[in-house]
Amino acid sequence: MKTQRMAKVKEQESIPVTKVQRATKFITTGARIGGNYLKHYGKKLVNPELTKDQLHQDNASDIYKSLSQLKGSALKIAQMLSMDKNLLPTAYQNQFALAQYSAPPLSYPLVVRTFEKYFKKRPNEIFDTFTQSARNAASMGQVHEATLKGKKLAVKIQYPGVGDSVKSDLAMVKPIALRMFNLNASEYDEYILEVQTRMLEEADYSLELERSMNLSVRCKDIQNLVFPTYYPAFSSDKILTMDWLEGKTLGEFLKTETLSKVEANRIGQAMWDFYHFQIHQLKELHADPHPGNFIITKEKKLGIIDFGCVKVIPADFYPQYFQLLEKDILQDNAKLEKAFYELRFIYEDDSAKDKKFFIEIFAQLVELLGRPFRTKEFDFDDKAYFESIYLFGERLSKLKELRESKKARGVKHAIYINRTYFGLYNLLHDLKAKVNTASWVPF
Amino acid sequence: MEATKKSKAKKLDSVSAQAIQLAYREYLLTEGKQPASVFKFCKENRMTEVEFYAHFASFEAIEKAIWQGYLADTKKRLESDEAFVQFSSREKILTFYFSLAELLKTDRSFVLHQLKSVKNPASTPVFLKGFKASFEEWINSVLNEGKGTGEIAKRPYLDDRYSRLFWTHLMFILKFWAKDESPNFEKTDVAIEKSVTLAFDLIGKGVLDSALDFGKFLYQNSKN
Repeated sequence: MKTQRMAKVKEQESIPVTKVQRATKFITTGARIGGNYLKHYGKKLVNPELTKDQLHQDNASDIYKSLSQLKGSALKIAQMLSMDKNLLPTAYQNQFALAQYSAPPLSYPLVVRTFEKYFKKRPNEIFDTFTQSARNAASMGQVHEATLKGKKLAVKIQYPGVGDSVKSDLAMVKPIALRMFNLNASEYDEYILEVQTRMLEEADYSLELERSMNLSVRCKDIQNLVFPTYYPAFSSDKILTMDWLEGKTLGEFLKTETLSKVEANRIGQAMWDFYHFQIHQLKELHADPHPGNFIITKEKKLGIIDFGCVKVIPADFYPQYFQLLEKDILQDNAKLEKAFYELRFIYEDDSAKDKKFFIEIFAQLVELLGRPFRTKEFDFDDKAYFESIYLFGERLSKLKELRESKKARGVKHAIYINRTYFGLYNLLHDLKAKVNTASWVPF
Repeated sequence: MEATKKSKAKKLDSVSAQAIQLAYREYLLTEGKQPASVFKFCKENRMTEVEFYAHFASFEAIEKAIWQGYLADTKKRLESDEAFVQFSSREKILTFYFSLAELLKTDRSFVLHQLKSVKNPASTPVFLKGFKASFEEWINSVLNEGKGTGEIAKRPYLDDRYSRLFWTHLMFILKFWAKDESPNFEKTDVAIEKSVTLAFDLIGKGVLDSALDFGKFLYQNSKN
C-alpha cells in the first residue's frame, strides 16, 4: 500500500515538471522586473534626470531572456508584442524583434520521428535530399530544406505539444503582460481569448495548408507577388511542405542590401495591394505582417510564405471598422460618435466627462492612423509621421483614464486588424516606400 | 508475424517460441493474470509440456524473452537506417528511445500490464532483467563512442556509472509513456527530447567538470 502510494506521488511529480519549470521562469521574471523598477526608482532618487530608457532596457532584456527559452506560444507572444512596436518603448522593440529567429532547434531524430508518425517513412525516403539540421526557425517549428526531382522544397516541422502549451503559456504570461503593457484585466481577457484562438489555429498545419492554398490562388493576379506551391501529399497536422523561395527574408534583406527607390516603391505597392485586396475583397487576411514572413526574391518581387495566422473579418464588423476611413468622418461629430459606440471606444453608461475624453483621444487616433488613406499617395518614409504615432502610443500607454477604465475599449476583432496595420505601416516604413494608397480604398 | 498466425490456426502442431509467446500474451491480457500452471496452459493451447520447456523454463522466462525481443527489434530498426552510423551519441540515443516508444505502442496493453505489476520501483523486476543487460551493453558502446569523439566528458570512476543513469532514465520514460494520455503519445516525444538534452548537458563537458576539479583541489588542500 505504502509503496504504491509512493510510486504514485513520484509519477505525478514527474509529469508536470515542464509546467512547473515554466511557471517558475515567469515568476522569476516577474520578480526581476520588480527589481528593475526598484533599481530605477533608487537611482532616480539620486539622479532625478534619469530617464526610463535604462529601466525599459532592463525590463525588455529580462522578459526577452525568459521568453526566448520557451517555445511555441510564449515565443509567439514575444513576437506579437514586437509587432505592436509603435505602442512600445523603443527599448523593447529591439529585444523582441530578435525573438523570431532564435529558438532551440528540434533534434533530427525527433524530426524523423514526426515523419514516421504521419507518413510511415523517413524524410530521406520521401525526398531526394533532406537537411539534417534546420535552415530556419519558425515560431512554432523549424524549416528544413529538401529536394525532390530537382525541385527545392521548404519543409516546416512543428514542435510537438505546441498546441497544448498555448493555453497554459498564455495564462502564465498574464501577470507580466498586465504589468508590462499597462493593460487592464478585462482588456486582457478579451485580447487573450482572441490571441488564443489564432494561436491554436496556427498550431494546425492542415488548416494552414488549406488557407495557404486558398489565399495564394485568390491573390495570384496581384502584381509583383510570388507564392510558393504547396504540397498536400507531403503535409500533415505537423508538417507543411512548399516550394523553397529563393531570396532573403525582408528583415535580413534590409540589413544587408539596399533597394533602389523604384524597387522599394514597387515592393511596397505589392504589399499594400496584397493586404487591401484581402481586406476588402476576400474579407480574410494574412494577419502576420512580420519581416520574417516575406521574401525578397532575386527579381525584387515579394514572396509570401506564411499563412499560419489568418483573420476572417466578420460581416457585421467590416462596416463598423472601416467607416472610420470615410472621408467626412472626422468632420461629422454625430457620425464619429455613432462609430465609436459601435466599436466600443465609448459606452452609453460612461460619464459625460469620460465620454468627451475618450472621443477626443480616439478621434486623434483615427486621424493619425487613417492619414495614409486621406491622400492618394503616401510616403511611408516620412519619419515625422512615425515619430508622431510613436509619441501618441507612448501617451496612450501612460493615460491613467485608459488604464483605470474597467471596460475594454475596442472590439476584439479589431486586435488582429490593428496589428496587421501596425505591421504593414512598419514594414512600409522600413522599406521607405511611397505607395498609391487609393488603389483599394472602397470609399 | 504471419507465420505465427498461421501456425496458431493449424492448432500449433509444431510449436515455435513465438507461438508460445503469443498464446501467453493473449491469456495474460484476457484473464488479467498468469495461467495457473504450465500444465493448464499447455492443455488449453494443445501442446505438450515438453514442447513448452523446449523453449521456456517458466512463464517469467516468456516475459523476459518478450522484453528482450523489443530491444532486439529496436536495434534492428536502428541499423536499417544508413544515416544512423553517422549520428552523434545524443542523436543515437534519441533515435533509440523514439523507436522503442513506437514499437511499444503496438504492444501497449501488454507493456502496461507488466509495468503495473511492478511492486517495488527501486529494484529491477524479473521480466526486465535481460532487457536491462542488453540495454546497458548497447548504451555503453554508444557512450564509449561519445567519449571518443569528446561529446561526453571523461570522468574517472563516475563515467562507469552512466549506463546505470541511462537505465533510470529509460525507466522514467517508460513510466511517463504509461501515464501519457496525449494523442499519439506526443508528450512522451517531448519528454524524451527534453530529458536527453538535459542528460547530455550533464555528461558533456561543463559545470560539473569544473565543480569536480575545484572539489578535488579543495580536498587535496585540506589534507595539507
